[in-house]
Amino acid sequence: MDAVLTTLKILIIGDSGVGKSSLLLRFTDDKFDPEQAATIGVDFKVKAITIDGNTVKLAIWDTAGQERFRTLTPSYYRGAQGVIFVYDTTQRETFTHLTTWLTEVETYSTKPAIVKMLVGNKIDKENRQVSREEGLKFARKHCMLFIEASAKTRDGVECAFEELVEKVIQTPGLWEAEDGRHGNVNIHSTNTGGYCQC
Amino acid sequence: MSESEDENAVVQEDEVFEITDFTNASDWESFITQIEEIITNWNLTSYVKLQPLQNNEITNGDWEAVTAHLKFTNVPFTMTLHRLKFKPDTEQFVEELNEEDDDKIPHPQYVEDMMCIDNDFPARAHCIARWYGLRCFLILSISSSNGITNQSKCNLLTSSVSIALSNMSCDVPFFVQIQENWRRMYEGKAVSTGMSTQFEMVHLKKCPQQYAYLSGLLHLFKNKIGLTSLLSGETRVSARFTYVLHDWGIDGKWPAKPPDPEAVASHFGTLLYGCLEDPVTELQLAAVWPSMTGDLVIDNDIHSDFKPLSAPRWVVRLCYADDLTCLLSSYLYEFIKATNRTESMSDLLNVLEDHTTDKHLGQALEKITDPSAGGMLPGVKLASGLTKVVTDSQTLFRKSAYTLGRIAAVRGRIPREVLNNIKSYMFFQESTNSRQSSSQQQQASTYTFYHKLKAAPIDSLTHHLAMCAIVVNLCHGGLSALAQVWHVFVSELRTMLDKGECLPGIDSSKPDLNTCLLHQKLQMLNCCIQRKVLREQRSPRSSSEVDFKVNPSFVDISEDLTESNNHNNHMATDESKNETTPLKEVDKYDGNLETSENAAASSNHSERLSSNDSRGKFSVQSDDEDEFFECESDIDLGDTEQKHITSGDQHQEISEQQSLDQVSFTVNSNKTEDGAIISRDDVEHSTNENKDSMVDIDVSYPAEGRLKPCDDLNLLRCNSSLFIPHTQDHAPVTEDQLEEQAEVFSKLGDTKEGSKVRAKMQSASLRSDMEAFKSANPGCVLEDFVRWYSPRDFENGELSQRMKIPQNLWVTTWKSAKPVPAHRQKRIFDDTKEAEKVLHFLTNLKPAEAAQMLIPVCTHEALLVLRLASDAMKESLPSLPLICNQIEARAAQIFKQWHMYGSVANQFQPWTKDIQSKVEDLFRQITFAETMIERARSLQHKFRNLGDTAQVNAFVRQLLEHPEVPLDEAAVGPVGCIIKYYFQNQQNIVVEAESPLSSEQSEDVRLPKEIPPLPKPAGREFIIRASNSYPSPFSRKLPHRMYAVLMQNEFRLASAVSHDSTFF
Repeated sequence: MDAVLTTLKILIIGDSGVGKSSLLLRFTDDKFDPEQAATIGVDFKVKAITIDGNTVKLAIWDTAGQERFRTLTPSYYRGAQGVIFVYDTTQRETFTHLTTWLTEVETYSTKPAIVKMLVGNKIDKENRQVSREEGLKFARKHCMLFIEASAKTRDGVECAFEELVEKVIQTPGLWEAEDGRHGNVNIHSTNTGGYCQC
Repeated sequence: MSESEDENAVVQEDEVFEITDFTNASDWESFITQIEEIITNWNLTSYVKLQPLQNNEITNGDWEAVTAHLKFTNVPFTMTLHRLKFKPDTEQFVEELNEEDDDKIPHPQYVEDMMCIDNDFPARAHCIARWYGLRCFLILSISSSNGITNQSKCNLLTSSVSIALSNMSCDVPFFVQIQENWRRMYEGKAVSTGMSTQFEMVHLKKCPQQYAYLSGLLHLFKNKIGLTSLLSGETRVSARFTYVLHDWGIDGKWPAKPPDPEAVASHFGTLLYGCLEDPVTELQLAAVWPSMTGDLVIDNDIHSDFKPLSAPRWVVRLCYADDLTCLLSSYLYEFIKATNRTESMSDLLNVLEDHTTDKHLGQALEKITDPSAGGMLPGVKLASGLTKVVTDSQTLFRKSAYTLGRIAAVRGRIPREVLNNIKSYMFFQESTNSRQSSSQQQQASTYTFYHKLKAAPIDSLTHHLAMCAIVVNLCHGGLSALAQVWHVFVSELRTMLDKGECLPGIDSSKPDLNTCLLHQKLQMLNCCIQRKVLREQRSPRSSSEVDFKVNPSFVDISEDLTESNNHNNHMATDESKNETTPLKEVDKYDGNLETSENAAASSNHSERLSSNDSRGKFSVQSDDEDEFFECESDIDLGDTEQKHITSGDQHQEISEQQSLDQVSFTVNSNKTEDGAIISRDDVEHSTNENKDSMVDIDVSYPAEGRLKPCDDLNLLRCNSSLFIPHTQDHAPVTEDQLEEQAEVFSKLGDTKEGSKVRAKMQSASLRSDMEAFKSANPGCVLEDFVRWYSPRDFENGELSQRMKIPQNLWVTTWKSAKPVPAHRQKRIFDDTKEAEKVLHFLTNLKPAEAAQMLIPVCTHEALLVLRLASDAMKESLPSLPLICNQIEARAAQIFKQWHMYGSVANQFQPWTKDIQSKVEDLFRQITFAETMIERARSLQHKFRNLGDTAQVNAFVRQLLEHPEVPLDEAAVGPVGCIIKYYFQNQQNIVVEAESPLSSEQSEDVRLPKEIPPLPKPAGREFIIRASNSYPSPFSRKLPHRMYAVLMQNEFRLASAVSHDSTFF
């Protein structure tokens, strides 16, 4: 087995009922539970994934979306290298609230280079209210990764997490500093050994 | 294919050849082979011709050095190639010149370089480049430090290299380092078509008398190259005389006014910067005469044509102090020294205590003199685990206050008035700081520089403490002074907590996790004090009420309060029997609606306790169960509610005044853990047997704790508006506590069970909100709550699917929630306990640890000072802002990853060696920047009369950026005049110092004699070039060169004599 390169902290946020916990369950256990209870406070799951030959352990923090929990959950934002913003493509309100969530992350995140990903969930449902173009536009405006997904049909879920992790690994200074490891990443292995001249 | 075959064939041939060769090969031969290999690797195997050297290219160009290792027998050697890098635009080789004169073979590159007069006396170069003007050369040196002192070894090496180079057609001059390394003695050779050049060196301590002037040196050189005719225009001479200025006089010395130690010691507002001695130790003035005809210059012991004041070129060079003492750096270095000490407060103070004989008197005195010692009796109830420790610390502090008072005579004690000044500086926020307004603006925005560094805001209490600590550590006696300040600080915090005064310079918000841990702790303490004040404000009471022990949970509110005194006493005794409490208690987590009055109280107890175990880890429950959250409910307070408050306050008072009763009381309240949240209504219900309708649609209690209506919503089951209740705020947490919580959560794992436990642990605030909601909305159902709390979970007139899952935590919590307004609920945030935790944490820190916690704050301040200074100097030091950026970025990186806590909250984790060395490295960079600033400031001061600010800055910039600066118009230019003035001053002082000895004898002789404007040159350098046929008059005319340097204690000649190897 590959040695674990690092442990990354990923955060999932968004309005209540947009399917944050379901996305996470689909990713970690490849399950969909219609009986998924509403999260209280924060919850937590771990999964190891291998990307480009680097095995990375993910500690994914799932948060409650209710307004009232919003003073409680941001404490757990600290140290996160990646954040997934989730909205419900069938509920416009959850999309318009994204700016609030962005502000939350900007205020409470401790890593300025944190990688942001936008996920439009529940594309399996019929009564879509937010188009893919709108999502794309929003993501572009705020320098985020974007994907539409369905936790129910598993569309886009795994891809979303993998993209995010890959981006985190490629972002310099985002994750190395924690344990002082540098340059072990296979992506950067095209390291030409020119001699130093001084 | 054929090619590779060919190669194979060649290799095979070589192998065969080499095998036979190797059997007979001597060490010498294999050494030559190694050299040849290296030459090949470095692509030096052909004669190349480059563009002529440009003016000063040896100084200004980029040099590279490549090293290879080789062995002769078993002795290791190093071969180094020094080479001026090609500039991209001059990289093309010059075509071989097709001159008409066929006889003339062009000189090799190195000869051209040697004879090029545009690079004489380079300001910065390898010594070989300086002596011979070469831009490319090889050096062979022995790796051991002893050097090669044996002449025959030296010859062996020289000839080895010589053979190798001519084998490989390499015309790069090579040098073998001989003698001791420090002497920088080299012997070298270069071989090219039809000629070879011998490089030789003389190195003596004293200059032989006959060669002390140019005339003697010229004679020597001419003899060496066989130039016999006395007068021939073939010799060219360049000369450079160096004069040293080391005394700048009153006008030039820097700092013009050294800082006053007293002022530094009592300056706490900002850190000061600046050096204590002059960073510019000396100025070297070089008078330069470029290429002159050698035979026309007269320089001998009687007369010299080299008159510096009329030299065509003047060049200055500066020498800087190596180890400059600067204030800003001193603050930091001394502080970092303190962080490595291991003494605890008691270590420091016990030693002192041994000397004391009269403790009682001392304690009495201390009570009178030290205001911080008063009121330190623990008037607050402590969490049982903390009690002992804190009590010990109290004793300790009293001792320390005492001993501090006693060490007046002992060195290192801060005088009382200074200590008082420090205290008032820390705790009384005077806006003396000019940066305050800007820093306040900074605070308005969300993420600022101090956030980046994880420090604390300017002028916050934390910042003031850091300033005092760092100043006191430098100026008032190091660690012991630090301990005293720390003591004063923590004692004052205790006093302010006891008195209920908010901390000055700490904002009222929750701990900002982007600041340093100490600042967070102070913010936390401030939160606690605020809550305490709020609570006390809401409970104006007469002292007579204090005596009653009341647990309001059990007070029947409907009872006439006129009888309450007696009744309450009665209840207090009753409650220990614990009869009524569990009867209607609904099991919270199982959702078991068993409400049977017959259920054994004990079984309910055990279930409750077990569920509470898990919850207790997270929620801030404490042993003092009976304190209540006080929210600002100023509306909707019915008459009954007022009564509640009154009784609640009585209880509050009791809980704070507990003394001997505490033990039994605490045991009791443990048993009735949930008793506090059971209200009158439940008790009534339990007796009214209103089982079927359950609490859900109970409308029999009056509404309490309403904040405002929720939009236009009405309750579903009864006809009244839906009200948003007053709720308890979420508990503020510091970074270490949060980390601990996160740790606990992680340890529960990502199983379903883990998830459940986590949710339960966090359900305290949900439960609190539900209870408040129920209280504000009599007759409400879960649907109503969800419509307020999580509107999207109420769709199409019913709860969402996930809310309807049986036994989900929302449903079970709702079912077990009692209607209790927030102000009567158990406090989610126990400020009393949290405040004690903070003080416990601070009290237990060693002074060195306290210093570590302050390092980010001190660094932040230092960087601000540095930034201001660098902005002021950016005309002279344009690179400094960039250096500041780098230092700041580095600091941010270090402090972000430095966790000052362990896995357990409230435990300080001393820094690791890794962090320490990083911080030390950071401080070194700050020192470097400060040194640069001081150099620039010193130079600006010295040349302030040069013209306007821009001119001064421009010149200072030149001085700082270049190793040497040529002066416009030499001696008569503006800079030249200033320098002459300084030299003149120095000369006057020297002459004055000498004069008393000789004044009597030769006064009249000396008087007309002017004091020479410049001292004797400290060094004289000559480069003599000539062209002559050598070795015999019939040989080809070849160029030769000799460099000479004559100093007080060193005499060196470096000659390069070329031989025609074709003809004689």
